[in-house]
Amino acid sequence: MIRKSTLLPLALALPVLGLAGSWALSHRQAQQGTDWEVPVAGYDPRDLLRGHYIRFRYEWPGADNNYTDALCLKGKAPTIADAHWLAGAHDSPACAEIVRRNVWADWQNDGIQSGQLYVAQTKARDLEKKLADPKLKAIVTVRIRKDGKVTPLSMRFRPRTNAEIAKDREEREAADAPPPALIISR
Amino acid sequence: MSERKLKAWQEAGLIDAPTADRIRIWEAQHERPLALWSIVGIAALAIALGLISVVAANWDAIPGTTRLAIHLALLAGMAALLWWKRDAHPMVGETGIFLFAALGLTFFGHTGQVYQTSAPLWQPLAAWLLLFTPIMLLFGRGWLSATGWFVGLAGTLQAYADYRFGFGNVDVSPALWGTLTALPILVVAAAAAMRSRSTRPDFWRRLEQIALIYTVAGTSLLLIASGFGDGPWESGDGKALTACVTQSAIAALAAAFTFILRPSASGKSVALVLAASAVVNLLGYTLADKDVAAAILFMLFWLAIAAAALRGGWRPVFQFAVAVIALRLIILSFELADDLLGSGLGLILAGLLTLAIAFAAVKVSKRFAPKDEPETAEDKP
Repeated sequence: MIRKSTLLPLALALPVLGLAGSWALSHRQAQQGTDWEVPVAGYDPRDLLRGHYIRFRYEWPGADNNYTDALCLKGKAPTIADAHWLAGAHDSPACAEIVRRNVWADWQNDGIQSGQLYVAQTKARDLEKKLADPKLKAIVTVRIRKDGKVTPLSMRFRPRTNAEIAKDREEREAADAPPPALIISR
Repeated sequence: MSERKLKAWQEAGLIDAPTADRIRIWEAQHERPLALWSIVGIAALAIALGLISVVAANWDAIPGTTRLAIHLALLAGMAALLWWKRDAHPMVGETGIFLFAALGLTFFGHTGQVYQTSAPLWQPLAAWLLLFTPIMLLFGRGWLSATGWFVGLAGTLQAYADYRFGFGNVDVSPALWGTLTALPILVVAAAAAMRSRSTRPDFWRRLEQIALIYTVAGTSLLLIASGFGDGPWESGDGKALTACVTQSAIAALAAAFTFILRPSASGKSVALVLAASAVVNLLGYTLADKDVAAAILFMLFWLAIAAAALRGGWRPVFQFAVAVIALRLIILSFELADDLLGSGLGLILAGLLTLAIAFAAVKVSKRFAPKDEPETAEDKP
C-alpha cells in the first residue's frame, strides 16, 4: 500500500488546487465580452423576486416575440440600435454581436428571453418596487461573451419616455379588453 | 459526584467506607470544572454566532473576489489542519474531512453567485466528486464521509439523468437511464470487498450499509409507485422494460460480486437482499396498477430482507423489516376495507386487524430476532 504520508498531501491538495482552478476559469470568463444595455420588464408582477434573484424579461429593441435560439445585435456597445432574431445558420457578419440561448437553463433564465440577477437582500425590495413602477423603465447591463453567453451585471432605472408610456397603455388596454358578452338564448 | 449518592450506597452496604473515601479522592483529583467549561463554551458559541451574523449582514458589501478568496483560504487552512492533525483521534479527521468536502461543495455555488453564472447541476456535482473522491475514499473513517460521498455519487448520476432526459423520463434512452440510476448499487459490492482488505473496515462497512439502504429504498419506492399506477413503467412499449432489465442486471451483478467477495454469513445476507431487489424490480414491472399484487410483492421483498437479517444476525434490521411488513399490512387492511370504511363496522374491523397485526409483529420481533451480538466489524451488515 502507498504510504499515507505521500498520499494524504496529494488528496488534500487536489480539491484546493482544483477549486482554485475553477475559480480562475470563472474569473477569466467573466472578464471577457462586451457590455450592452438592454431594457427589461418583470414578467410576473406577483413574483419578481425568487430567493435572492430578481427575474426579468428582455425587451431587445426592434425584436418581436418570435423567439429563436439566436439574436443579432446591431449598434455600438453599450447602445443597441436594432436587434432581430436569426434563424438557421445563426451566423451573420452584419451583426455586431450575437446572443445565443443558454440551452441548459429553462426559459426563465435562458439569457435570450429572460434572465435573473443576484441582488442584495437589502436592495431587493427597492428594486422590486421600482421594477413595478409604471413611470420607470429598467435597464440591465449585460456582458455578452464571444460565444453568445449573456451575463447580467447590474440594473438601473430611467424615467419612461412618453412613447413608451403610450405603448404600455395600448398593450394594457388590449389585455384588459372585456371578454365578449355572454349570450344566453333559450 | 454526588456525596448524597455515596452515602446512600455506603448505608445500603454496596460499598464500604474505604472504597467511598477512595472514590472521593479520585473524584477530587479528576474533577472537571464543568460550570466554567460551559461558560467558556457559551462564550465561544456567542462569539462564533456573532462573527457569522456580522459576515452575513455585510455579505453583499464584501467584494465577491474577497469573499471567494476567504472561502478558498478556509479550504486551504482546513487542508493544512487535516495534515497537521493526521495522527489525532480518527473522529477528528473524519469530521474534518466532512467539513472540508462540504466547504468545497459550497464553493461552486459561491462562484456561481459572484459571477452570475449558471450551469446544469450535474456539472458542479461531478467536479466536486472528482476533486473530493480521493480524500473521502482513501481517508474517510466513518459514516459522515461515507454518506457524503455516496450521496454525492448518486446525486451526480441522478442530476445527469435528469439533465439528459428530463426528470424521471425513461423513454429517451432506457438502457442508459437504468444504468445511471442503478450504478450506485455496485458500491455495495465494492465496499463489501474492501472491508476485509482495508485498514479502515468501519468506513467500508458504513459505505456498504448506505449503498444497501439506497438499493432497498429505491426498490420499495418503485413498488409503492407501481401500486399507484404511477411507476416509471407506465408507457408499456418495451422501453420501460429495457430500463427495468438494466437495473435488475446491475443489482444481480452486485449480488454476485458481494457473494464471491465477502463470503461471511453477513456478506451472503447482503447478496440475498441485492438478489431479491433484482427479482422484485423485474416483477414490479408486470404489476403496474395492480395495487394488491404490488402490496404483496412489497411484503415478500421485506420478508426476504427479514430472512437475510435472520441469517446475517442483524437484530435491528430484522425488527425494522417486521415493522415495515406490519405497517404495509395495516395500510392494506384499510385499503381493502375501503368500501366498508363508511360504516362503523368497517372501522371496527380495520381497527381490530391493526391491533392483531401490531400484537403479532411485536411477538415475532421478540421471539425470532437474532441475539444482539457484540459489535465486530465483520458481523454487521
